Amino acid sequence: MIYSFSIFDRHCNCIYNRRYIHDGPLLTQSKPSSVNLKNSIGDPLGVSITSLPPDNGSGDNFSPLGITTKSKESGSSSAINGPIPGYINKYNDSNASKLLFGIMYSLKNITAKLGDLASLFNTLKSFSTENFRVHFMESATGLKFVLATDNEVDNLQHILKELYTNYYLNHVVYNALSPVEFGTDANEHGKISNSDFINATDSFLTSLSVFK
Amino acid sequence: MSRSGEEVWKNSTEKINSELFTLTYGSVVAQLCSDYNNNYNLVNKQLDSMGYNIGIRLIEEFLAKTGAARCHTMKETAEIILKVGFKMFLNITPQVDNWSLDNRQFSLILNENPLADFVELPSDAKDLWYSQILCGVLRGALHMVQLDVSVWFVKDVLKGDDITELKLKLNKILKDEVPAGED
Repeated sequence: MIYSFSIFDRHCNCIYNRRYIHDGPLLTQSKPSSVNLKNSIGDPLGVSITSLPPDNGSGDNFSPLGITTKSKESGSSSAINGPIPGYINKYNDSNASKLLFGIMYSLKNITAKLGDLASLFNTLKSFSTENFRVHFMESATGLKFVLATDNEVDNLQHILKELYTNYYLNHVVYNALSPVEFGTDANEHGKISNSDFINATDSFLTSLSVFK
Repeated sequence: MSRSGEEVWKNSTEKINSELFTLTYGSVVAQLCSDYNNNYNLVNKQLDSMGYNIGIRLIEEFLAKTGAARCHTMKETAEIILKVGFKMFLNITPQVDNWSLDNRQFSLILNENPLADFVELPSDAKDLWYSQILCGVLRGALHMVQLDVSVWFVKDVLKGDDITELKLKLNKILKDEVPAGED
């Protein structure tokens, strides 16, 4: 199951953040929602499962696993963007998103230091916890592609690569009207908001067998 | 695994008619000259900045298609630019020469230059570096992979020189940016 997809640029800003809301069986692994991440940082992975008890807010107070009920959200216009339920570019600057970046950033640096630098180039591909797995790919230009999934999903490197070489390239780089530099200001940076990119990546990701 | 320039050129580069390309670039330069009243220094600057804007996009295409990883030395970088970059986008392979002692500066010798086919410069255009856009492209593309470089022309066959030569100098390797609030 794919929970969210984010892109961070080389200025460490989240230029695209897509959370998918899943209709789904109650996750037995929803237990961790009681861990002490609550309130202060939100859910870095952006995990949203419907049919669970309502959460009392959004944004930085998003519950640790980002669990929201469908009934609560269906009334809100910002909750469902387009045919595929979820959030588009809503949590880019949330603490949750910054935390996710921080995790990847630290792990990436640790990863690079493992092994002998000269002969063995070590890069971060994913990390997993009991219930979740986060897939990571960085281009040489410092663009970071991140997918958060459940632990059933094994390896999504080829999907991340596809998102970069196909979707990002075709809908952002080749799109003369879209910037490729999204600004350096952590609060005022741009985002990928062009609908071609959003629709194309949505239909690509939802078509994958691992999406549901 | 990274792919060779030859392979990318053959299989994943969309080709266009080279005359169309050459003539389009020629019209751009001619238009700039007229826009700037033949102030060739300004034209050079403008071409360079147009090239920079191309370069920062081109590098993504380059990386996406070649799968190249970061280089560790300037020698490696030069090799990749020449044998992969120029090959896949322009189907030429320039020579590298004149390495400086500290390995931070080298010359690119263009044996052929698709931008400059059919071109004859007017006699008053001594200050014009006709293919200056290449400098901008290299500067933009390398900037995006954390290399701050200066690129400039030193010789151009269009000006009567025996070869076309570009200099590329590494100013510094930029550090990856860190999130706000960290060192």
